[in-house]
Amino acid sequence: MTREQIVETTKNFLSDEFEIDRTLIEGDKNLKDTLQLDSLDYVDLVVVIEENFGFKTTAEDFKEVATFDDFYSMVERKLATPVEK
Amino acid sequence: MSKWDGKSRGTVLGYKIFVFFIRTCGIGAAYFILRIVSFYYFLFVGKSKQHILDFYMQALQVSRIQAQALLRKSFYVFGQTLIDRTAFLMGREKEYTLTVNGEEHLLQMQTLGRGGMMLSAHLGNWETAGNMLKRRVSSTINVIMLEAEEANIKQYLDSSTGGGSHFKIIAIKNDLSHIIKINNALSNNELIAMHADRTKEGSKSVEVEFFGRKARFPLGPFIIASKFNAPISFVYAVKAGNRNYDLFATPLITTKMKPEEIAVLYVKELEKKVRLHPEQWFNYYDFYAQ
Repeated sequence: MTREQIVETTKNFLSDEFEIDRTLIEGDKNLKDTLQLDSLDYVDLVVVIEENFGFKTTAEDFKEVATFDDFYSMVERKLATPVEK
Repeated sequence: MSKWDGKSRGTVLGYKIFVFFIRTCGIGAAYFILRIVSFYYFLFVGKSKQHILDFYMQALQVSRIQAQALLRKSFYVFGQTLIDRTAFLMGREKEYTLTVNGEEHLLQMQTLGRGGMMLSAHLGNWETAGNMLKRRVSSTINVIMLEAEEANIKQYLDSSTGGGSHFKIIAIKNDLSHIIKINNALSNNELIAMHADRTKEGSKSVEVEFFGRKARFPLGPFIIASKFNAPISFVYAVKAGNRNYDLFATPLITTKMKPEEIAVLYVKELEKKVRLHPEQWFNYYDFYAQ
């Protein structure tokens, strides 16, 4: 999956799941603030990541995720590491 | 205390005294000392006492005298559960027995291979009974916990008892780390135990009728159970005699349900268990406060 495809897939599922205007999802914006995530919304986030990208996340994966760009990079890394899928 | 403030009561000195008695004279002696301590609490603890008396009188429709008798027993049994927990951590596990009603449901959870959610409440003592349950089920049991206990008590118990718990603890934090740990544990076919009866200020909740009145229950446990699509059982462990615990597990919910629907079923079962064991309802605050 290319980075463009990751961005597109992410925008699709986030706008569906969190009912947010997809134009608000910009690379340099803060993910948590834009989506207005509380801790229970993370349940949905974990589920949609698994459904759309086919891998399980760990707490470490999210340590350096602040913006959407960070998120796309994390997904790229995970997809490039088959053993962690 | 009108609402639960997210903290447990107790002091290190109190624990030290009981650890001393358990170690030198045995659990029976600790229970004896507890009779005096719990009676002191019964006499002098103020607001919490009134909330639980009101609960008994309104929910269970008992007289004030009956409610006071229940409360006196409740303080004593609550103290016993703390002693049991401490004794268990001190390695005295063999002095206790466990009767499991519905063990087949928990074993079924293991065979389904999707992990399982055991939703419980502050009724009786899940911790000691759940630790003994580990002898009967092979899956790892993860307990989801708020850091409710004062750090100095936790430190004291860990250092003086050897910390013989068989659980893995997943602490609830403000980030998503506990959510990911729960999801991964379920994927590894592990069991998750979680209390679903206390709401915390600012957290999402759902209103459900409990003994004829609307009460708020935390939505989190039901959201997790619903979204992660793991089989669910409502599990309660009550003290039945000095050294025995009865653990009840309900038949599994395996179909996809909305969080609010699961909450209603949970509360219905909780109500039944509170009716049977009102003295083991350990929510000493105004449960109906909004």
